[in-house]
Amino acid sequence: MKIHLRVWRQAGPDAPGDFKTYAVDDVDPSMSFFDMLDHLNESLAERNERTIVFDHDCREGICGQCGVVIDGRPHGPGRATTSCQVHMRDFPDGATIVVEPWRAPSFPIDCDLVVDRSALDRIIEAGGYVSVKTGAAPDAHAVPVAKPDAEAAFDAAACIGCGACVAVCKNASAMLFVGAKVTHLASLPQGRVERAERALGMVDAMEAEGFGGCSQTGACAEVCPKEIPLTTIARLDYEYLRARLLRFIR
Amino acid sequence: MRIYPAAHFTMGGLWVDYHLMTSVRRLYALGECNFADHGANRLGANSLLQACVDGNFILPATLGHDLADVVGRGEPDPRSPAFAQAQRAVQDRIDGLMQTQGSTTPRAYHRRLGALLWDRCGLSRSADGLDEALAHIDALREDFDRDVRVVGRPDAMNPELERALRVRDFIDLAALMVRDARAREESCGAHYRIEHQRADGEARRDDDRFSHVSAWQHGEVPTHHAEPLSFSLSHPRVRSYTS
Repeated sequence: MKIHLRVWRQAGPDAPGDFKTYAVDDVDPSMSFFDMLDHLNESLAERNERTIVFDHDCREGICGQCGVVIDGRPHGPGRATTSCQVHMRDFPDGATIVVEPWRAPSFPIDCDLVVDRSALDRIIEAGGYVSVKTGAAPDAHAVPVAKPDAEAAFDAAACIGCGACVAVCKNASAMLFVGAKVTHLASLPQGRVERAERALGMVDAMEAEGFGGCSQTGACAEVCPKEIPLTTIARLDYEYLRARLLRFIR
Repeated sequence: MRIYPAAHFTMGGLWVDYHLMTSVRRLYALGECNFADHGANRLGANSLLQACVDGNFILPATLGHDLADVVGRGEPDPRSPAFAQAQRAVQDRIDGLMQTQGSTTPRAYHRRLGALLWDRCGLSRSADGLDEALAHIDALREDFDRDVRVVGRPDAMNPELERALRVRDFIDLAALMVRDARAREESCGAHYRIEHQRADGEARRDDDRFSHVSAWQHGEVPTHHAEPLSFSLSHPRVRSYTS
């Protein structure tokens, strides 16, 4: 296969960026999208040119490190897949593919296709945790959890924090991400202690980081590689309202 | 489903004590970066085992133990001689890589190293193959230090530089793995020495001489330490898929 790539190139956070076009020869249809980028990078290195920087780690869709916009869609054409799970067989021979970084004011571009997602880490710091006593770990069956609660928590915990929900949202909102974290922890007895503080803290942090609000278009759930459902946003609204009411009553 | 064996784990890691502390005081190695749990073979999908065990059962105790010793002591001083020395060592390494300006990319060395290990320190190993591998790795290291090409800048985000640093470490790690495989004159778990097999092709262990974990102390020529394995509840037996 032969592929034409239009890639966003930006040398650093403050450098100007622009699209640059590359012709990539000898692309095998069985290559993953990132294999193809590696292949291009190797030829760039051989020509003494700066290689295209992109985030990646596990390359099996579980770590949340990767994420690029491929032809206008975060994580590319597939459903419930990350960028590393896109394969070249999904594109016709001779195709022109446009590759961009996540675009959101809260995700400044570090270099080429890499954005700084530490805003999500700071939201987690504002409540995305549970307090545990140090010392010997409790027995696994010491805290009973009802099966439906465990399932709900686990479905929400599938969020890998990649940021595709933010990248696709017209408001650059992080509601699906925060909704997933709040739903995960609020569904479990271990998460009840900080339940109200968590909802308030994470929503405040989200707003302080400049993420937008939710207009319920559902684009986030559509591109989410882990299919986090839109209902987690409803759960976040519920938890937030509940926390505000509790604060008012007290 | 098609199944094919693949190299994806080093079958070893940093030596740690029961608090998961390395030989460097207060430097802990949790999870699969330490040597502790998997034994002679780590099968696929077992990665969570060590993460969960170390994280759930050992970390809470280790953390409290460690903090009790240091709370109130203040932060380490980044201007201390030890810090400056470490920083200089890293900077010298980076400068060296950037100045080499050779003709071969780090990825090309990575491939050559991978092929070398796959052929001679892979599913089956022999004394001759391992001796050859060690010589080849030494040659590859010399070649790398003379002819590596790192494009891009050292003061910006640069995955080529990162890869060069890693691959250079992989070369040293590969030499260690080969040295360890050469020293272990038995077949055990993922380590299958063709000289040590039974008539039916099964692995032949030598528990009298090798029922131990090897720890190699860093140095020009690594020093070997053996930590004996003792079994009280279940005892090592001969592997059999038929009975």
